[in-house]
Amino acid sequence: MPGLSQRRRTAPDDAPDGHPDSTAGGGGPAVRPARLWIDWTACDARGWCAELLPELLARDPAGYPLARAASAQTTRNITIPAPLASHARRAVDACPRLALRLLPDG
Amino acid sequence: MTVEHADSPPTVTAPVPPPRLAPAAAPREPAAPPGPASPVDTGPADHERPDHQGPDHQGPGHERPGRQGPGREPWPAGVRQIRIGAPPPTGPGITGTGHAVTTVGADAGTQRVLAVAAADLASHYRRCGPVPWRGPGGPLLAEIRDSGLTGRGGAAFPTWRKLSAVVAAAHPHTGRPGGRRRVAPSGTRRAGTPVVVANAAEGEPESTKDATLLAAAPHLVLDGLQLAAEAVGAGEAYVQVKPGAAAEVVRRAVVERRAAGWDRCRIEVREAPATFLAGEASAVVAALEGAPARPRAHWRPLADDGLHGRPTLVHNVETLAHLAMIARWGAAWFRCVGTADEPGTLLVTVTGAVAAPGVVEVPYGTPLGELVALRGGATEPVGALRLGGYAGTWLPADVGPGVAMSREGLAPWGAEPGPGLVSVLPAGACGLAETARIVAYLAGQNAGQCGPCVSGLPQLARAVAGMAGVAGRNTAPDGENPAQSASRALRLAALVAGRGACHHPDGVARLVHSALRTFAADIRAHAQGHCIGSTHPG
Repeated sequence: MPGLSQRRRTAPDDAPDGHPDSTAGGGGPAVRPARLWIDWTACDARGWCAELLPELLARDPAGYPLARAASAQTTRNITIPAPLASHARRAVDACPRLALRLLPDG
Repeated sequence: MTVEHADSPPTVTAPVPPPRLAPAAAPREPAAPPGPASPVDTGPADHERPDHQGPDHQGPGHERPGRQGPGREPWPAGVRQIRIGAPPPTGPGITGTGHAVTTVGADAGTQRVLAVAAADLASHYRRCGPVPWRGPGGPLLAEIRDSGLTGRGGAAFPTWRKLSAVVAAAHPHTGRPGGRRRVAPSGTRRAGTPVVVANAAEGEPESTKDATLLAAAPHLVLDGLQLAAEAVGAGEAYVQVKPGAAAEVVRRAVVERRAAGWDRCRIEVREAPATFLAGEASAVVAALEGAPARPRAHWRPLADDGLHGRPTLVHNVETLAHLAMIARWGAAWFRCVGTADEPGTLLVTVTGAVAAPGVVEVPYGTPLGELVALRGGATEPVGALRLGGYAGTWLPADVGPGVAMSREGLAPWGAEPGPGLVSVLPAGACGLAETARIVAYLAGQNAGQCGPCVSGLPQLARAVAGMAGVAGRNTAPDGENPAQSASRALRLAALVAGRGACHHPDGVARLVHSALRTFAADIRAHAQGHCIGSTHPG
């Protein structure tokens, strides 16, 4: 993927453990509870996130990501279980519209 | 740490009474002594002095006019004494000629902000006294927290938390203005000087409460804006107001205050575009930046990253009016009406089939039927009530009037007090047709930014329109019948809810859900080829 540095493409555990605000893709080490935030104004239904994170995301008829969990009333903030943290980071980094962001939970 | 702004309090200028009051105070002033002996007041008159009038009101050269007055009167003649704990002036307040609001009946609700409403600065000063400056941060925040004041723009977020979030964002390392500066760790964003915004954009077409309040009590709102600005150490203040009479009133009020030297923070009045979403907080910020007034996708709250990236406080004008009253009369006074969870009063626009549509002020917990009665009662048999405006909730007519206007009372109906709006649907009107009209409007008012909303709302509007049609007349024989449309609407509503940068789709989904509940009998009737209005026979 042009435009993304190699560092961003490597395994999420290598991601900088910096201030949450300082990392472009969202912050915090992957083990901490995190939630996925979707910028709906940027999302263009490319569908990579649903492909990379099928446990959490499906696609609606128009192709936009849809939270699978019935408990998730909204897709504004999807909680990421710890085992899926690295997959979530990969989906965030792969989004061609940069519409995803991992936020620390809470 | 890089905060280099209003850590020092604003220049100490005592609030000067408006020029028109000068004649009233003048006869006493020559008698006032130079007063070198009393930087700290010890005289008997001080018992009457309001608690909030801090030492910064006694700058050199400023003589409080009442010091030498007869008896224990510390205020200029004609100015009402104000003390925390003492009740504010009561009475009709805004009735009579020259005022924007007329109340119905002698006892028009428990008026608070409307009772002290005064159109010009002189009468505002007579009713409310000077701006009760409290200094940056702490004192006012504690008072607001104790009062339990919540935002009156619809979301009912605790006001003090918004205020303290802005303070924390502007002063990330001390959490309070005036705290000791430390070296910022690398990578920390530089916070700017905070901005405060009074939001009267009022996109909701049926709502008139913000415009009414601004027209009736512009100075109370602007006092609240100034106090909020002082509390967070803001450098600028804005009023974002819907074009119209209220905008003119608030412009005049700002000029008046500037001439009288009332304000410590410069206020700028801007007009909001008349779209449904222009009142959303991030849309207000976008409009102030000169961008189209559309909501923004913001993962950081506006308190951290608002106008031009600065910590931004956006409060509804009614919230600010209550804030100005709490700063004067205290949290305990504020809490003495309303419910324990939601103290105080709120302004409610009552519209639809009522004798005198308009705004009332009532304590939280007032039954909706009483609210309607305050505006002269329904003019026709009631079919249903709609609460919270276009993006609100339908309540059936048999239970609606008894439901209390409070979070607790409305929760069983999936409703919230929201932006204070009660609309009465007459029994003769079809609730489904009305819902279809509203959903079509809301679908047209989407900002065109988020995919699920852009594609979902028009589909939802078509499904609701299908539900509103009566089978066999408007629909093709092979078309969808209203019952099928209803289940499609339910599916689509679930699909749009929560999937956008703002809560617009959620509101539409809420309205559709409540219509399906409230007008279930209507849908059955439509499917069978007739319309029963919104009454529920039997």
